[in-house]
Amino acid sequence: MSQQEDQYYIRKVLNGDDKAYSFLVERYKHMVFTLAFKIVKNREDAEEVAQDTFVKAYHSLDTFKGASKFSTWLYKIAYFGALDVLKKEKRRLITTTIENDHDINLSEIMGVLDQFEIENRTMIIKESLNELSAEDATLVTLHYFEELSLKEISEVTDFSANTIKVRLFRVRKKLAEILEKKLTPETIKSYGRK
Amino acid sequence: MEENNSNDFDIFLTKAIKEVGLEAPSENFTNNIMAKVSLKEETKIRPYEPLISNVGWLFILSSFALVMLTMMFYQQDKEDISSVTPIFDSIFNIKSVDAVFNIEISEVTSYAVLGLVFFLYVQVYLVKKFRNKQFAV
Repeated sequence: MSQQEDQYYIRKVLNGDDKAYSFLVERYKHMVFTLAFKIVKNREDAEEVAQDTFVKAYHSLDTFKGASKFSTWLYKIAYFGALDVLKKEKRRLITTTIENDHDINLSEIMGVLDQFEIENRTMIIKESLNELSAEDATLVTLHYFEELSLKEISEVTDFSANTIKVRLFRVRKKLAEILEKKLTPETIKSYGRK
Repeated sequence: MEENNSNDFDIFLTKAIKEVGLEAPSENFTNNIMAKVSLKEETKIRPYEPLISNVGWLFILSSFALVMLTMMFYQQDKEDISSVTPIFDSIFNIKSVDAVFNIEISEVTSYAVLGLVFFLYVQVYLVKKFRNKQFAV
């Protein structure tokens, strides 16, 4: 349904109704901005990347053939636009590494987080996501929030589906490790256990 | 058992990340984009205008032809025109010009200058063509 609606508005824009484009902007602005923000890690640059994404997409709209979803096409422009900003500013992609090999008790982590108030839980998850590298954070957002398939994420990032599968497995491990570190007994106490 | 835990963690992450939600851009985000889009649209509509218009080219060519013809007829009274060289001679050997500037230009120099001008025009044409291709959308 959403895809059909996108096509409807795209046709309207191509037929000269510029205002129809604002519906597409409204629909995808949060996701595009979030993707850019996860990569460039600051709001000003993310805003610029997100705006450039929509302007570029508008001017290339006649080249969009509809083989993939409009959203996937848009995310791809945003993803590479944000990486370009990092390159221009010569900022390196920060990569997080897995430091310890010990088994992480996932049940305990989930159990503890489930007992938190929703606000505290989101705060911890948000902080943990911010510790991920730009590319890992992008994968997490596309996979867990947008629930894109491996093939769709592959279209956005140009990584192969297998690479994405392996990276997502590692990201899960990293997240578990970060969460484990955050959920020290003191933290649990300070956030208040039910 | 571990695989079960991993699957549960996957489900937990999906729920937790959806709870976190998305970041919100500035309030004027959509308006700014629509303003940028309409601004670029206006500049795109402006038609291409060549530096020298067709009328301009017509004027230049007709003036050039007129000068050449005048020179030919001016020279015809004095000398027999049997080849193209008297035309070139006439351009560089006008008595009034000589009288004012007293410049003596040899035949070789005049041909060289003419050749240079000719190649300059060819070069301008080629460079223009190349630049047009480079900036073509």
